[in-house]
Amino acid sequence: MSNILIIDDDKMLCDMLCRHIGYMGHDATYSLTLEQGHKEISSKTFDVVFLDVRLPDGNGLDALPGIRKTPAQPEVIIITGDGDPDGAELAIRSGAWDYIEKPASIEKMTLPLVRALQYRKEKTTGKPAVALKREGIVGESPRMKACFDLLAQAANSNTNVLINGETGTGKELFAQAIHDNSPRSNNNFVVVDCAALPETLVESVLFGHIKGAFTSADRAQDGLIKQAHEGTLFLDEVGELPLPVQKTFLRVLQEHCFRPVGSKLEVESDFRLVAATNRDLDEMVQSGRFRNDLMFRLKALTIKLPPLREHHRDIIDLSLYHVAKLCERHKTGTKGFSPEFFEALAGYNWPGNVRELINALDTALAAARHDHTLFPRHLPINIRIHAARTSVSKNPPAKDGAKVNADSFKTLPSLWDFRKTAANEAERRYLQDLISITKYNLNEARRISGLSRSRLYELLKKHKISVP
Amino acid sequence: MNILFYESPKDGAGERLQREVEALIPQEEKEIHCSIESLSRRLRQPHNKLGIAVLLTEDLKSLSDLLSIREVLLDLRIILILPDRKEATIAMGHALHPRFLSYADSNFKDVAAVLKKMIGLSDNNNN
Repeated sequence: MSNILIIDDDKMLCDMLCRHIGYMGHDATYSLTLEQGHKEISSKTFDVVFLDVRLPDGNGLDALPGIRKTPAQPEVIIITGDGDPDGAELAIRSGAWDYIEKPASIEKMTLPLVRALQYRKEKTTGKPAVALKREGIVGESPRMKACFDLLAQAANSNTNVLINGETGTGKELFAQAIHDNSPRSNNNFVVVDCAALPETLVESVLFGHIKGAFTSADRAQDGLIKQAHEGTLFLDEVGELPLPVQKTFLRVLQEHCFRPVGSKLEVESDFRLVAATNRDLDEMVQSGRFRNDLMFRLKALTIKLPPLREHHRDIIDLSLYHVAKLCERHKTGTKGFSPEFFEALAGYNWPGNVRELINALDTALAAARHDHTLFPRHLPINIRIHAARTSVSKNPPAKDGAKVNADSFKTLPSLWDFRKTAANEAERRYLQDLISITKYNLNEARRISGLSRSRLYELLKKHKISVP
Repeated sequence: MNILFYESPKDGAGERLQREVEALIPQEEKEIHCSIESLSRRLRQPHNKLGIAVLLTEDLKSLSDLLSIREVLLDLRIILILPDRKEATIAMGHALHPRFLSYADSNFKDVAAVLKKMIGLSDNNNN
């Protein structure tokens, strides 16, 4: 039995709807004003709220978001005598389940109720009983959590999934996680790298071929679609699939039947499709490079993975996870992190996303070798430069720093002089850090810097850095 | 970018494979490992410069060996050459998530064509 609340100033309608909902086996109650409705909602848990728009003490559409945000998150069905398209759009955008114009038959009012209750029941029972297996996928930010919800939804269904995201965001890991959490996890997860397949090979690789189908086909071979039978077919970089193959593949997707190259017989394959791309498929459809019908088939459920720069707060968790993994792989002891190391990571915009972060951490571990703590110095030079530039732009010179006037141009040094001074200063700072990190161990300093003994002494002398 | 090869020294297929790809990759960008120990050791060192691995398995044992170091292989784009075309062998092969699958009894022209395209893509990404 579910609890239903009706907020409407039409008492006759409320009585009739309550009676009917009672016949359906649910408990219904009503309020004639918004204020009274809010009191009901705060004192009792409701599954569905019928909400009028024009109420004596306010507008139902204004109250809708607040009602949706209450702990029970009831589904809200808007009922109004003044229906208009803008109001309907606003209602749906604000999270309403449906928008019904009065007068309406009792069936028209109760059908959305039945559906809303069915949805809530499935939402509650459909939640995975066990934690998601998500090997290698790290993140607690709201953006990533939203992706995990979709991942769980994808794993519990058999629908086609499109994973969209920039290079390095972890599209393949998500595809693998969908497979691992699905009922197909005991069967093959078959990767098709659409970008790596030459056009001449695509069809025989996907559909297979019979003996003699072409010059080098000296034996029959199953294609990847067949090999994905009862498992998952992962089409990576699906945007690169040639147009003629897109047409054939659309039919395969609809019928799960295809003909191997050279064969007259159809072959069946019960595969589940997950596709991924870093391209904008809508734009590709517009420019005629991707089939509209195939795109809609692929987009049954879309997971948009955020670039790392949009979930910066996950950088620390990602770093801890991957450094531990890399240390285990390299069989080195675990490392500590200096706060500045994380600051440098957080200050960078990561165009190559998580993959670039992992590579940077790998480089840092190689540079740190026997050191126990990771410092910004261990990071690749481009990230350190970015951190340095950012710190400068955050602290602009106080005196006339923002103004560039005619006099500034007169006092600006030549590029050659500027470069020489900057290089000299960078060299001095590097050597100071080097000596400090190595605790005056010159052999270690030579190893890290790659300098010969004489050159190292020469530079230390030049910058007046004394070694005890 | 360096290309990593794994093949058994006693396997004739390895020589055929090298002949087929020799025009694609300069010698200095090739790393060939002939034992699973050597391959495993290499992959446990930093390998940012490695992008693609061509793994030629001559029998089920060498395929099982690769599966035992699966975790360190998954960072690479793998072209896997299987020892036979049996369903069970293919299923084992897919556990390595190969970007392309071929077979030891083939002429490796398909491997060369895919490798060429992969190298081109990597070069474009690096530029």
